[in-house]
Amino acid sequence: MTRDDYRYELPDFILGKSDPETAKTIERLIETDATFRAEFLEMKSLIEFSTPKLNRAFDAPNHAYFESLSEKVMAQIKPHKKSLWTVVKEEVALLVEVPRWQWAGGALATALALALIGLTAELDNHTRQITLAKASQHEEKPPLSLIATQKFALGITPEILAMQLDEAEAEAIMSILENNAPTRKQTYKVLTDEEVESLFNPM
Amino acid sequence: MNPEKTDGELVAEFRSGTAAQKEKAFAELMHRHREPIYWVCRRLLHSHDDADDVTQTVFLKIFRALPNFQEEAEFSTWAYRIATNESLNALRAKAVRHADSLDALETDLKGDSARPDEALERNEERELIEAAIASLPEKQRAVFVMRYYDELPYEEIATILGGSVGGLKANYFHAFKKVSEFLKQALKHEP
Repeated sequence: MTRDDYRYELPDFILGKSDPETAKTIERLIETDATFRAEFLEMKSLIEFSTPKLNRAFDAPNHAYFESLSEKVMAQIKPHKKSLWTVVKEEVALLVEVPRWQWAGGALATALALALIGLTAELDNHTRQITLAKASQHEEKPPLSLIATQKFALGITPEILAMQLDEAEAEAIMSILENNAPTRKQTYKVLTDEEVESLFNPM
Repeated sequence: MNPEKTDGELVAEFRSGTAAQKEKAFAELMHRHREPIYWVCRRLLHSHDDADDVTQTVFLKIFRALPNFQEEAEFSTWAYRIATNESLNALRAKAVRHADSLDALETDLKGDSARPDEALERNEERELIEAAIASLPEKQRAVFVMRYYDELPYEEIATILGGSVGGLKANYFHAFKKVSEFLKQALKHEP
């Protein structure tokens, strides 16, 4: 090794990292070589000044950082192998990121849709009830009574005196009654001869 | 996780194992080496954010290159070399972007004390020291970081950076001297 080689060893020598043989040679040079000793003292002064500061140079990240570093790298290595939990978390995070006005719009649209469905159901129910009521009304209607028939007959022929009708006129009236009785089921009562007679001769 | 396995065994497992074994082996290698690799990047790049980006890039490169790793060197040395190269590339890109001269130290030592004064005005010793290291030429900075902070032997630094052991010692000597003089000059003006 040359003198310059030993000179370049000075930082390691001052910091105690030189091997014993090299250290001995440097110690001898310091004792015997004034120029070398001056360089040694200058370097020693600089290193003693700067070393405490250099050791405080970098603020270390916390341990959690290194864990997250590993996770970030692994995520880039296997982006297609996300766990179900990760996917759920990402989706939820994505939903949370949607602006609130979009949420409000969605909620309003849902409310309108529900109201429309409710109204339709109510209208349908109302219509069904009316239909059922009409049907039941027809079903519950009693068969025509003689009195009703008489009233009906008098109603449609107020100017006719029943007593004056001959047989042909009576049959015509009966025909009208058969065709126009106020029921769909034709459940009117068929008059017996006595009843017809009493109809034409009420007194 | 695999406390008994050496780096070499994990590398072999990575090469020959199933996808799950490969992933597990790589995760263990990363767990062992993530802090030293981060610190190499951090000390060369100065900024935590830059170091974070580059460290991720380094491990992605390691993952892709591991099947072709020849094991001529230790895994850690190989990883250090990738980290150093990536950091120096990032440093060059950053220098181009910000016109941040790598040899600004020369200017500072010739009496332009604007940079140390600015640091003093900020009264942040840590930033001053990081600035001192950042002002070194890139080779000196890499050698200084690896030797002083990481305490790597010169032989390993030579494997990582190239060059002779004698040349690296010279780099270390000059780097140490420049950083110390930078600090001394800056702090001399401290109010």
